[in-house]
Amino acid sequence: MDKNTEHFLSALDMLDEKFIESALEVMTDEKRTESISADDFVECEAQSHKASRLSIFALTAASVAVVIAVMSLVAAISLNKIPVADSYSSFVSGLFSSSEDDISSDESSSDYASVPDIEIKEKIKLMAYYEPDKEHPAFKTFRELYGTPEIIPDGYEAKKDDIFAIKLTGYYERFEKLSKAINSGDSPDISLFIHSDHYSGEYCARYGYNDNGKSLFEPIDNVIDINEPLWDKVRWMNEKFTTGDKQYAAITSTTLLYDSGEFLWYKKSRMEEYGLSDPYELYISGEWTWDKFSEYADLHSDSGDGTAYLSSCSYLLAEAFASASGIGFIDMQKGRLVSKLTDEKTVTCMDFLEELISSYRINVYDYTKVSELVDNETLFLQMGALKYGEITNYIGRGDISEGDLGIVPVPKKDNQTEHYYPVYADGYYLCKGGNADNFTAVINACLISYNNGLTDSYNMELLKNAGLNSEQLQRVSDVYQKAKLNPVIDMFFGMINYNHTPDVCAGLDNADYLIVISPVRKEMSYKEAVDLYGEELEKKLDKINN
Amino acid sequence: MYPEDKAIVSLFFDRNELALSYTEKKYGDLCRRVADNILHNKEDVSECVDSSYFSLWNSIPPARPDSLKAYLCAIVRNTALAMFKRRSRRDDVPFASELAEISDGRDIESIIDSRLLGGFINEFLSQQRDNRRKIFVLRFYFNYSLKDISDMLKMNESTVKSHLQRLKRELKSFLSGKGYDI
Repeated sequence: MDKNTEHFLSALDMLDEKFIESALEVMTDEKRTESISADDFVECEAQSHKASRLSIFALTAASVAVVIAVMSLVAAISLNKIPVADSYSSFVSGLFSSSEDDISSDESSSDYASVPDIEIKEKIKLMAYYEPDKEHPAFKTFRELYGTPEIIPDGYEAKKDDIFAIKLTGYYERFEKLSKAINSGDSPDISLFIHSDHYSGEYCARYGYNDNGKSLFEPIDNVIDINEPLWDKVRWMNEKFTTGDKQYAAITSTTLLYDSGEFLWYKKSRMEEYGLSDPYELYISGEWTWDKFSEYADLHSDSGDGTAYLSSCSYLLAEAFASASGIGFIDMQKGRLVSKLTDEKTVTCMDFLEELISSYRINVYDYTKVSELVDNETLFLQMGALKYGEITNYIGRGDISEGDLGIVPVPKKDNQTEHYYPVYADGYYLCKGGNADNFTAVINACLISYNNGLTDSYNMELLKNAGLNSEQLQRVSDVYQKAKLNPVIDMFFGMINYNHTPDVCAGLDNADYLIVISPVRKEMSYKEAVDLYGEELEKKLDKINN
Repeated sequence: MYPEDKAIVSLFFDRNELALSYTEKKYGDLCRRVADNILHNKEDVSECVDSSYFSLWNSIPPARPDSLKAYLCAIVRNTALAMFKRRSRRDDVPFASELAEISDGRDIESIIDSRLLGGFINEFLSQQRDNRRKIFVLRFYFNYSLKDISDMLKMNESTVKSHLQRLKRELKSFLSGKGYDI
């Protein structure tokens, strides 16, 4: 294609959505149908469909809880507080606890008793780009602790039984809208902390939106006390996410990336056809390595069945493989963000991926292309466990059957003793000018919900609702059990915004992102990308570290 | 009767597959039309729209588009373009090359960054009357034919053509005014 044409096409990608919408008004293809209101529709649907509810809040919080348990145990084990065998078995037994009856009343009640008596009269003002799932058990815990606040804050809308009064923003303008609200004297109480916003959040807390010098968040060191027992299970994570001398984000839960790329899906029948062991059996025996993965690939390629053996999504690939090898691109050490881009483990991993991509053995798309697994174009599909429904959508329409689908984590590096897993954090910020009591109340509800096992149970239900059969659930459960001992917290995931918000932090570009996806973009090698963008990344890290 | 877009987006956030079902019912024909404008092949169009639904499912959340219709059509258009580039033996995309003509063969990439150019195009369009803006978007963004545009806007085909010529000329002049002499 002519270079100028391509350049204009790229420019048109940025066309303002309202212009597109305006033009669409005259397109005659849309079915002219009567619309009903959102509220009426939801009400209608609620009665006719008991469909699975997998909100992103629930999703992340769900996965989080399991790993939090894992991590707190790891911390306890490392401090020799708990014998390993005991802690492990208690974790396992709690993993699939499905009712509140499993909760120790002592543990639960001590948590309830430990939180300060706060009176919450007004609904919590939340600014967010999505609405938290009201089915999450933290809402029930909140009501048990504080009742349902009755007063609707001025300028907000909420229903009588809502706890939050929410102002929704678009994803892209979440920080901008927050900044405007604060500067106009209309501060929300809280804002969501999301792992992938960590850098932007810290930046906006220290330097303000677009370096305007007006912090968006309050330091919470004097609002919460993470040395209290209530914080035992997430203390390590809060310390991990505190850069410098002030804490801004309260981490209330952690998770595996259930909805991301740490798992590979495959057809067991294909493995049998090739005379190969089920990859999950290799995983259990510690033999699920890059070597074995490549061996499977060669057989698949030789068979002439397909051109690739792994179908992946561009921004998931490197992060998942690096994490499985025990390393994150950006680490946090003693309150400082530290680049691991040139660490031997990272470089080895990226070399491995580059070789596979350049030899066309990995197909990479901007989305998860399920049809490649269905149509036997690939041997493995990289996709999170909670997205299982995207495969089952094809049942009856393609060469696929439910009982034939296996799931296994991405392979680890050769000669590596342990398997590792990416862990993700969720929480809240206290907005500048927000009500600290309201913030504390929300945090307490989230922590208690997690501590007493409700969040775990809820999360497991989400996986069941996603359609995983008993074998798949058991496998995922086994992975969780192993994950608790070997989590990787990749701060890279919190350094960038995949969704193109480079302007949030004073126009900084996504140098880190360009580096990590360099094998996929193919414009330069990983090493060249590090050479080109590494210095810029270091400057970003320094700005937060100092 | 279909739900409002806001309700469909809520279903995406709930990871409820009804979201895709309603999207298809409400906007499926429109999507196929948008894809067909670029791909002109029934099978490709079908694959393009399926892929676009997956992209939509994967991007909401975290995205919460203000206009599901515009957001979806942008995805379809971009997916179709990617397929076009991947599969077509042709060297060019006719409608976009028509716009690129304003450069008179000069290397625009070396003069102005595509993101900056995109911003200027938005600024330029914001100064245009509604009908002219629609013509620009329908032609250069969605690749509608002159006849289709004239039908949709109830204009003569020659009038549409004339508007397009003027839009190109004025865009070139606008960019020049910004210091980018393309």
